Parts: sequence; structure tokens; C-alpha cells
Amino acid sequence: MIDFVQNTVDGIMFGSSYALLAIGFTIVFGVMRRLNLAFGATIMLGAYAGTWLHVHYQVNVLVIALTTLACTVLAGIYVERLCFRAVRRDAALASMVSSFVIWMQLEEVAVHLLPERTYPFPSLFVAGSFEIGPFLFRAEQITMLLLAVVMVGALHLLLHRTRYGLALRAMSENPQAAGYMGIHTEWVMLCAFALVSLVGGVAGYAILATDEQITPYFGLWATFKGLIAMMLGGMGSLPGAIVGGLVLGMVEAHSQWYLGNEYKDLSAYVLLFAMLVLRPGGFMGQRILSREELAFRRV
Amino acid sequence: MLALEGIEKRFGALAALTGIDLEVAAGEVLGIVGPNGSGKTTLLNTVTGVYAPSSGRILFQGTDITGWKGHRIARLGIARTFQNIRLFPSMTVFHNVWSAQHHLVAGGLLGLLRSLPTAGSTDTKKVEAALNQVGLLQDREVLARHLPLPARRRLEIARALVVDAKLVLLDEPSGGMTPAETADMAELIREIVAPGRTCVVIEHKMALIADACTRLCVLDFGRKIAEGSPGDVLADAAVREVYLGADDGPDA
Repeated sequence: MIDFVQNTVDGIMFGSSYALLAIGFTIVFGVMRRLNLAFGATIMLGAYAGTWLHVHYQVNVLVIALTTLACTVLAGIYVERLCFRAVRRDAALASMVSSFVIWMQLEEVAVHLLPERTYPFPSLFVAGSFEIGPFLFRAEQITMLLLAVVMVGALHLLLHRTRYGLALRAMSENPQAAGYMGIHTEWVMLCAFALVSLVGGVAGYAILATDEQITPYFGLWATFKGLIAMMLGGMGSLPGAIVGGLVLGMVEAHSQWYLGNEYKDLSAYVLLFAMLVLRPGGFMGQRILSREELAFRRV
Repeated sequence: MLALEGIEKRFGALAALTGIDLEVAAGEVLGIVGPNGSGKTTLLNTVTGVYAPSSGRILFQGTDITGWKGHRIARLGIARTFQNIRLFPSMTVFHNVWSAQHHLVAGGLLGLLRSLPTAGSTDTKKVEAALNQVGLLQDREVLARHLPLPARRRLEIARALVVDAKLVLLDEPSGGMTPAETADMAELIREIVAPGRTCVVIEHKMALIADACTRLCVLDFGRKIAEGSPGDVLADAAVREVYLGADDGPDA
């Protein structure tokens, strides 16, 4: 029982960072109906910029964190310009394929920046662990959870209390109508990419600081975790991304404990498979088009 | 107010519009009629920046807006409604209208973070006034997708009223409506939308055209075949042929 609770707690803590990664995918998908496969790679490249500073100049952790975030945002904007803005409005597949190409490109850039296989990533200044009763908590994981809660809270306020949030929601409901309302849709979209890159950068930084190492495959890893969490929760749904991330974290933690480390990823895929067969919309997603919505669009 | 000069629009081999010259004078209500596929909606789409015309120029108050993006044209003061209504279904009636006030994304980065309007603010009052004009004030907190069809069309019109658009383009404002609802819509256009504004109305229903429009333009296969006062145009032989088939006799 104690193990079960401990695993659940660990799963929630790690799942909170999966949730942030999933939010990055789900916001872009929700507004544009497009998958940004380069999302994980943008975070990886941002973190590589921070690592490069760490390896060459031994600067303060805070500077590394800020560099990571700033470069992730820049990489996100780069992806938007290249794969989403430049590609025609109705060519969603072209966006996805070109984002895959940019993913490979960003990975190459990272390898040229720091050619060895792995590099140390500076841990957070709050490293350490403590016990409450029989349960063990790691300070990094608590930090991760707190960061995720703060980010989700801030995002919620942004989406529901500000003009930008209304513009973004308007675009996700009807991008063309949003344009005729005078909303500069391209500008809103660029800001959305910068925003989700920031969220993803925070998640990536927290994960890497916990792992204390980085490889160029971090982009692949982050893309997988984020995509799985988004699909579990329901594509395009913000609450879904959070639920999906937490469920993914818990399932991984439990299967790692009860089945062994080699089953951790496998059980995540099995869960995703079961979800897609039984409830293709995910936990919180709607069916692709409800009957009511179809009728609404017809008139 | 609005001038179209030699507008052509081709989609591949299909010529949707050919050599359209059209002037819309300030204050008039111009009706555009024509059979399905005659290019009426295409004409509105080129004016509102859905796509640029293949050739020709569009001038709005002397400014050449040919090829401008939709949001820039909207900010100049051209508002439109859609044949297939385009609201934000999961937003309230209030937010649907408020979002039309072009300043949603104005004011740079900091402007984006400004909060939504509070009760009693100037913005809120303007939205409430527009909703009142179209008779939707009591539904302000209803989600747009829960409105019946005539109310959705009225909501689209409220979005044009709230920005005090100089030119309002209405694409089949009575589409899918009963005769009684159509009469209400004609009254709304005549009493609320038209005074002080210039309107272009695409319509099929003669009841609405005769009641609300001051001038008519008839399109057929992407060409303008007639133009003039509603009475003259509807009596025109070419128009009767397009609309009613060749006039073979009293029972045709």
C-alpha cells in the first residue's frame, strides 16, 4: 500500500511535466488543427544552448535557466515561421512533414554545438530529498510540480481573462471568422508558439535538471511523452493535456515498480493503444465533430 | 464609397467573375441577385479579402485595398456576415460581439494582456447597445451555438453594428428563414442597419429585396447583366429569363 501511494505520488510529480509538454502540442493543435512534431526538438535545442554555457563558461544556474527558456522560445518562433506560417493555410500535412524535417535539422545543430553523446545538465539549486512519514519526496520533483501548477494557472488566466486569450479561443473556433473580426491571426499564432515554447521550456528545464544530463535524443523523448499525454487526454483539450500527463506519469511509475523498468514505456504504449480503440477522443476530447456542430456548420 | 474596377476571379479554368465594374454610393442599399453559382459570394469574398481577385482593382473610399488581408480590410470599416454563419459557437453572445471590436489584438504585446471588459465599461456599453438594436440583449450570456438560426444571423449583424462599420456586406441575411422571419430581417436592415451606413445585400428572396434595397445588380455566370432600381431590374427581360426561364407566355 505504501509502495502504491509512493508510486502514485512520484507519477503525479513526473506527470506534471508531461502535462506541460502535452499543453504545447494541444494548444497548437487546438488552434491550427496541426501537429508540431518539432516541439520536443525546440526544447532540446534551447536546453543545449543552456548546456553550452554551462560546459564552456560555468555560469550561474539562473543564467542557464533563462538562456534555455529564451532559446526555446526563439526556436519555437523559428519553427512557426518555417513550418506553419510559410505553408498554405489548408496544407496541414505539409506543416507536419516540414516540422519533422526541422526536428532533424535542430538535432543536427545541437550535435554540432556539443558533439559528444551526453553532457551534464546543472541540477536545480533546490536538490535534495526529505521524508514525510514513510514517503520520500525529492525537492526537484516538488519544484517540478509547483512549476507545472503555476504555469497551468497562468495559462488559464491568460486564456479566460485576457484579450489575447479571447482572440486565441476565437481562432480555435473559427480562424477565418476571427480574421474578419479584425484579429491579426498570424500575430496571435506567433505569440501562441512563443507561449507554448516557454511552457515547454520550463518543463524541459525541470526534467533535465532532475536527470542532470542531456542528450540530443531529449527532443524525441519530449515529443513522444507530450504526444502520448495529449492523445490520452484528448487532442486540442487543455484540461485533457493535464489529465493525460498525470495519467501517463502514474502508469509509468506503477509499471516501473510492479513490472520492471523495461516495461515502463511499453505500458504507456499499451495504454495509448487501448485508449485509441476504446475512446478515440481521449479522456476529455470531444468526438471529432458532434452532430450539433455539424448542423451548426451547415447553416 | 466602394468601387470595383474590372474584377475578374478565376479558380483554375473556372471564371467565377468576369469584368465586374460596380460602384456603391454612400448611403445606398445595393442588392446583388443572381442564380446559384453566379458569383455573388465570390464577389463579397474578393472585397473582404478572403482571396485576391485575379485581376482588377477594389477601391474603398479611394484606398486601393486589392489583395489586402481580411483583418486589415475589417479594420478599415468593412464588416460582413456569412451565408453559412461564422460565429464562435462556444462563446457567449456577448463575447462574440465584443471580439468584433477590432482592438482585440491592438496595442502590441502589453495590449494582449489587458483584461476583458468589465460591466459598465465603454466597451461593454457599446456591445450592449448593438445587442439591443438587434434584439438579443436578453441573451447576452447564452452560448452562440444554443441560439436559433434567425438569432444567429442577427448576432452576425450585431458584430457589424458594434464597430460602426461604414460598409456592411450581408450574405443572404434571410437564408433558411420563414416568411415572417424574413420580414423581420428586412425591417432590421431597413430600420437599423441601413440608416447612416452603406450596405450590400446578397439575396434570393424578392420580398426582402423589394423591401430593403434601393438599387439592384444582377449577376449571371460571373457577369453583370443588369443594374438599376428594383422595379426596373425586375421588369428587365434578360433578368426574367435568368430567373424565371424564357418568357413564353402568360402561364410561363
